[in-house]
Amino acid sequence: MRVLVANNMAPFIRGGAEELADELVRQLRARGHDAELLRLPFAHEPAEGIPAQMLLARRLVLENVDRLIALKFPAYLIPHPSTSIWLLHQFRQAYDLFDAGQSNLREDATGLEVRDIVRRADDEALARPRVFTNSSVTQDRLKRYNGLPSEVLLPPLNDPERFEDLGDEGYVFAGGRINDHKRQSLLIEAMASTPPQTRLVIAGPADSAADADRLRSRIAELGLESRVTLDVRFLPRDVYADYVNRSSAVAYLPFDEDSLGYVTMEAAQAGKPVITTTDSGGLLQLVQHGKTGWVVPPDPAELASALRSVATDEPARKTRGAAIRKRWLSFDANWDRTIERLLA
Amino acid sequence: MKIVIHSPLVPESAIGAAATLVGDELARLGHHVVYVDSAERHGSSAREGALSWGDVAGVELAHQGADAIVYHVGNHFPYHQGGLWWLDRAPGIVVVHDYFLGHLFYGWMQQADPEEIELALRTFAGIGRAEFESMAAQGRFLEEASARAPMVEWVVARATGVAVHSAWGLDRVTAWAPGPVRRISLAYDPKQVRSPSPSKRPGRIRLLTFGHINPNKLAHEVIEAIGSDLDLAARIEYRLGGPIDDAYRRELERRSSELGISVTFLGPVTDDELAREIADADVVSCLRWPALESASASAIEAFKSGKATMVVDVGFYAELPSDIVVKVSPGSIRDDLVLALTALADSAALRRELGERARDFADYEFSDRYYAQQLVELIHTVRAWAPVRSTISDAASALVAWGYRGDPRIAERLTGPLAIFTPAPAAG
Repeated sequence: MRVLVANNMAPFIRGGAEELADELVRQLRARGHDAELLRLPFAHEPAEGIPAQMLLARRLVLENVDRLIALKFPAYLIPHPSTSIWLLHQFRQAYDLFDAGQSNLREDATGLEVRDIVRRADDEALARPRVFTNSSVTQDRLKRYNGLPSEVLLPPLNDPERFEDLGDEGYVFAGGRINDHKRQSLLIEAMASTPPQTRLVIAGPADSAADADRLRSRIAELGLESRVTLDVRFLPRDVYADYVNRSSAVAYLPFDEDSLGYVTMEAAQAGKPVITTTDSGGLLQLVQHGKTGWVVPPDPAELASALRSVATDEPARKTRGAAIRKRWLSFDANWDRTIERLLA
Repeated sequence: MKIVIHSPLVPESAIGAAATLVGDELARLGHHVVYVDSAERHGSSAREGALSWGDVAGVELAHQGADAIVYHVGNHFPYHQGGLWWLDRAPGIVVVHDYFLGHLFYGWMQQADPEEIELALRTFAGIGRAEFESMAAQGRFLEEASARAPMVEWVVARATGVAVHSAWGLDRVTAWAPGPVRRISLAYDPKQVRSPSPSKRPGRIRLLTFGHINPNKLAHEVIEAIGSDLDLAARIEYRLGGPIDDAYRRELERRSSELGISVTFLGPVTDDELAREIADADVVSCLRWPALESASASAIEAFKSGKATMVVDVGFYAELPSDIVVKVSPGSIRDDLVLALTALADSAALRRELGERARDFADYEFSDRYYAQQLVELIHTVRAWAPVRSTISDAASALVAWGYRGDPRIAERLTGPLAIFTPAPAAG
């Protein structure tokens, strides 16, 4: 089958969605399909330019394609008679982020009009068979705002064989993109109130130089240079996996994430318990306080307490690490089943 | 090419004369031209072989396979109602003969859907129906509505391309025309052009204003200017050729009598009489204020007759070369008129030189052949533009289906990038 995977492209930004799209193409090819990735440039600023970009997607004509798998807004507006949508997320600035006052769409006439256009277009484009969501959070949002049903299809790990428990070298690892949304700064603040043996490694690409500079300055201000390692770069997979595999636990504090998050899933695969916050969204399906990790309010004192617990309570670490691995494997998120559902 | 031309074809219509002049030239160039009379039915008034706009089946048949449909649009609703009706159903190129189409709109309003009227006024003038009707009722419709609700936008927004006859009102047109816009000088062929006859009145100057004599033609200013100078009052015979409102005539007669100047009211004149009057005139007054025409057939007639002509330096007239007419400033019309009339009265050579230059200029610039060439080029440009127009139209349909409510900032993000496909130049 000739399968085109359609995703967005925010130039020079690369995260889990981009990894997933690349892996989906690889997995399709590995199963004998012709697969290509189409990336549509998309910028959410200025907001009044969003409808024009939606129309660009809408006007694309795909010839010679048997199945289109679209992942994100507005790529799923591309018309094709045989489409599967694997919804990683809608344009949340027109939905929950708008309602929470955290959208780039202003509450003026233009902002409201763009919001309504996005919602109407979604009503139309997502009302079809074969709409999958990447988590129950995404599924609930689609149901709540658009009244549309979907099937949860969790993204599998891309390279599960890399992740295993290689021991505990006494640090908490905070991986993934570095930015305000992922709140690595909360961990640094918490570290100031932890015992001397507590160590934290923050490693991953920064969205901007300013994001990295802010963390670096704060570490220096708090005198944490000897206990907090900041490794800002796009990490090779083996380096990244090694950070996970040798950690005591993994910390991941995104604000209201839609999905389980690769960071969480990879930690679970390696049998590492996860520290997160009560407002982190989709990963709470996997991380349960006292069972598979630590779930605390997004507050430095509460996080310090969790970090202390990781450093001092080895039985808890081990029990919760084993439990999160077991829970993750019970989700049965694997590529064979995923491809089968997407091409059904 | 097959070209369908919608225009009033009644003999009284100057627009009809211009439209058929160019249409006939297109036919001579080998194009297949079909005329549709856009005026309300006048029995045998339509040109032989032309379709009436109410002959829906016939017009639809004519439109089939047409390379271009051209609508000549002016400000008189009875002459253009058919064109408006068809423009919505068979989009085409609009030739704008007036930059003020308020009267046309007012006429259309009398039979249109109230919601459509309100939408059009809100969209193109930013006012409501009550305000527009109030302007019409106050007797200063031309002055007020020409500034605030000229409504030319209302027509050109539906055109696939636009031809205008002067550039002064172009901004209004290009802001709303979704396709190419081209400036083409009006083609005009006076039926009875006579060579200028030498003045047989030593020391005396004959000045002529012709057409529908109303305050817009500033005859009262001319009379005041002549009356303000004893020498001019003694030397100038002022003749007014054309229908005139009684009240305005009485006012002009009273002032000319008080000032002791010679004014002759000719009343309505035939083509032949008019041609003779122009030939016998030393100077023609083509003053207009405000000047809202896209072009002036009267001025072109004067030029082609080789006459020295006075104009107000505004609108279409401002775009004329300064060495073929005498321009008076709109800010000092009377004072400038005294100076202009004095200079023209004093110098037969000046009158002759101006007239000759005007005739040379007009014979080329306002010719049917030149116009036909330009119109054919515009048709080609409009055809080249068709994919862009279709793209915008499809996009607009999708946006509307998504609930688009008309925010211009959103539209600009859509249409701005498409501007690179604009066939250059936007206005020739």
